[in-house]
Amino acid sequence: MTSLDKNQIQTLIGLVTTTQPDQLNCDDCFGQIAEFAEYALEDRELTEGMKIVQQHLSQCPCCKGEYEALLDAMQELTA
Amino acid sequence: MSTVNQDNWVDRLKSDDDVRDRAIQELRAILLRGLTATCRSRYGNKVSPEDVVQDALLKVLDKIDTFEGRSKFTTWAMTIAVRVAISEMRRKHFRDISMNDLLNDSMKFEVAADPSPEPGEEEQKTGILSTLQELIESKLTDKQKDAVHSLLNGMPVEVFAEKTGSNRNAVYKLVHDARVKLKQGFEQAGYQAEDIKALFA
Repeated sequence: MTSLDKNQIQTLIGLVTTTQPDQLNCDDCFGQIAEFAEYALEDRELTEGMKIVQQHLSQCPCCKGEYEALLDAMQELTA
Repeated sequence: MSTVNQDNWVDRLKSDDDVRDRAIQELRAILLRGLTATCRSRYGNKVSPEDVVQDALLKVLDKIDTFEGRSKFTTWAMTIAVRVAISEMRRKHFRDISMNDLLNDSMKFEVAADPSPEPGEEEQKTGILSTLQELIESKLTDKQKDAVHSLLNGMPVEVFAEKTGSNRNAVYKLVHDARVKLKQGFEQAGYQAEDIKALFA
């Protein structure tokens, strides 16, 4: 029997309660993430297609981690 | 986003002469600069940007015909490079962790109650956690329990997929389906997501 600590319980509760339908898988997301990053970096209003990417990122910690790393890299280029 | 001239990257990288060599050197420098920021403070700095930039560059060149121009070329190339770097960082970070170590000797979750200063709140939390425990046991498959458990231990789905011989899309779907089952189970038990979130915020 494995116990979850307080942080893990909060994470699990967060994962469950924020779950929404997701139209993308991780490969689909990867195919659009460069375009999505430019929307964010240029502070442009998201199209419906980009909102779908945003929804995947909000539910996939793996893709979100890569997206944040991409933003760090792109911001370094403009620094 | 880049201040680098975005013109003709594809043409330059596909040419046969010195133009191509110069373009490759330029792109390598751009990727290295970006990867330096990416590798900083992630997964214990176990990967140096110099170690992954060549592999990243080769992958960009290999995929160049798939560039559709929906973003700037350098953003697209950096996306590929970052994926290479992050994957290597994750692989190294979790290299010595076996699935057995991570999942312990049982697939069951024991969700301990969180003592709360408010007596009524504590009772509510206990009820929710007890329901969560029951839902995990009754609704999730063993594979889903493993995947969720690994995620809660910080293992990215990419690494879980590699260690279990699956693929990232399949594991993401496995976890997402588990989340949907648990959320629906809560709703059927009379708990709404917003109320639960507020209680555990």
